[in-house]
Amino acid sequence: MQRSGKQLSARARKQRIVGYAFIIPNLVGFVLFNAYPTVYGLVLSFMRNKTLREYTFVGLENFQQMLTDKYISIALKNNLAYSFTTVPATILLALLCSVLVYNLGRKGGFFRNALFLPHITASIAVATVWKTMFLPDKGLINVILHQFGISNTPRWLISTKTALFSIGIVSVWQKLGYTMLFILVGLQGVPKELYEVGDLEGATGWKRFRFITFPLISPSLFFVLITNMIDSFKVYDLILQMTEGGPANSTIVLVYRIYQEGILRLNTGYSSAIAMLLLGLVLIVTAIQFVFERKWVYYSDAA
Amino acid sequence: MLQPYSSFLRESGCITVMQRDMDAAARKTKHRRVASLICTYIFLVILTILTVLPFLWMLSGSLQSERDLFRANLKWIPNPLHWENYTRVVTEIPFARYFYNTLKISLIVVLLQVLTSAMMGYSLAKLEYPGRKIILLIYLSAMMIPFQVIMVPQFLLVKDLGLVNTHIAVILLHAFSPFGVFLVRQFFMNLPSDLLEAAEIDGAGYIKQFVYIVLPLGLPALSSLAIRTFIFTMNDFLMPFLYLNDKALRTIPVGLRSLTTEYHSNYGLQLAGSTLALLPVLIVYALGSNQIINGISMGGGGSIKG
Repeated sequence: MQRSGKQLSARARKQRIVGYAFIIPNLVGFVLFNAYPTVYGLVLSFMRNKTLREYTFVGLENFQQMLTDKYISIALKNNLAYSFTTVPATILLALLCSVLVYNLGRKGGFFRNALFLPHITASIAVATVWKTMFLPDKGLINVILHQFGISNTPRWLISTKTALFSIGIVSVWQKLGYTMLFILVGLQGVPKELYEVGDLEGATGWKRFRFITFPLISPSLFFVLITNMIDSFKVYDLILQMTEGGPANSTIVLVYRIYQEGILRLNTGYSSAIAMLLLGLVLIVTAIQFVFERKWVYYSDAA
Repeated sequence: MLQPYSSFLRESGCITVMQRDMDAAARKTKHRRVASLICTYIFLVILTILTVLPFLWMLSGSLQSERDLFRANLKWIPNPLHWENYTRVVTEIPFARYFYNTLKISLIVVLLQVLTSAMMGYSLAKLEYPGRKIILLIYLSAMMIPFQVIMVPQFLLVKDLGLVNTHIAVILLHAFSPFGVFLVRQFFMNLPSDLLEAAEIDGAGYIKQFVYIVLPLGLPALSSLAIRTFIFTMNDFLMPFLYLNDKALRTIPVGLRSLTTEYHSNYGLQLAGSTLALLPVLIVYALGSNQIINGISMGGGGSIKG
């Protein structure tokens, strides 16, 4: 009904004018500061620069170099290990917490607010505090462990074996409240009648969770899974502040390498290639999650 | 529900046993419920303590001298209180200036983002014109791209524009996030079109519809976006770190980092700096945690499903 032949109704014309006018502010900013750098980055990944101004097209050379760059493989390994441990841990813990908080009703509000606190605090500050807590000799954690009689305490950020894990702990601590909040919102959207029906049918405890609660909060869980995953690949602040990539490069990640190559060493071409690797990683992981979405995410038809 | 039946049974001479069994069963579930309630509280209290512990440690450690923290035994309230950590931090780092910078940048970003996202969200949700779907698709895919992926090209762009070392650069880079547009659009999609159509019949143009109907109704989503953006920009480290070289222009996270790198072994000082950095946020949160959380989840909750 919008067009009769080539003529637009006055209404459709007005919609166009206002429509375009309203998107222009954001669109211009977006294209200039987001879209253009993205394309620029893609192009850069195929270039190498001698000075900051001179670029030469080198095809896939940057990507070939990445294959042999041992720091890239370490960084990639770290990213995967980090993401695939902290994200499930965060979500499972958050799920447990949100169910408990939900069951408390109004009284749960206090816990909900308390657990949300780490999310609004700056990563740099949080990292500084945890860094002092992780000190092997004087830090809070080991001191407490000593008081419990444990003498062989981990070296946390000093040891190559536990450094990334320690940073992971901080990440879970930081993201728990935020993740819990979103699952809580999902829980609150479950119609109470379903629980009553379940009770009548004799569904208790685990059955109740598995057949009523879980399917109905699965959209929230999926959302939280995707966002946490993408966020986990961006990790940088915590690592920079707590270990600066050490000890012995055991905590370097892809963003770290991007920063090193692009900003410090001004190898913008190589850095962009690494960035493309990071992007590819994020896209693949997200795509995989979407493939599985159909299998376990249940969208109720009541919209 | 079984009351009348059981009393009939009792009167007709049938079993009081049945009543006893029912009572016993009721008592058992009540016990189970109390037990699970106690467990819930214990678990949540422990978790809350673990959550808050680092902040308490931060406060405690900030008042200890370098030598105090070297001792291996724990003292929660140091004696004497070394307030000089704080005075040193304030003299070394112009915290007031940094706070002003951070606040200024964050507020402008929030303003720009909410305004442009609201307009674009409305346009994408309620108006029709060619190219609408493509733009939506582009924004959707852009949401997947972490900013760290494009930070180097962005840096080159900012350099070419001559905007390195300005607040404007940081503001502009933050203000046009596709996520904001998407959030607002989702919410606006759920607004009833009949309301808008009725207004149109009454002669209100699209702009009037936007200002008088969409904006007021969309307030939950917009305030959610505002709060989230504000928190994110206040705490952001990487962008100000990349672009703000002048000490006078820096933000709090960047200032804290330079403090900790300069005094990398004086942990008391570092913790004092962290406390000062977190103080504004902690105060605001202590006063309005409910509002903040409701604000964030209202908009978020509306757009998660479907």
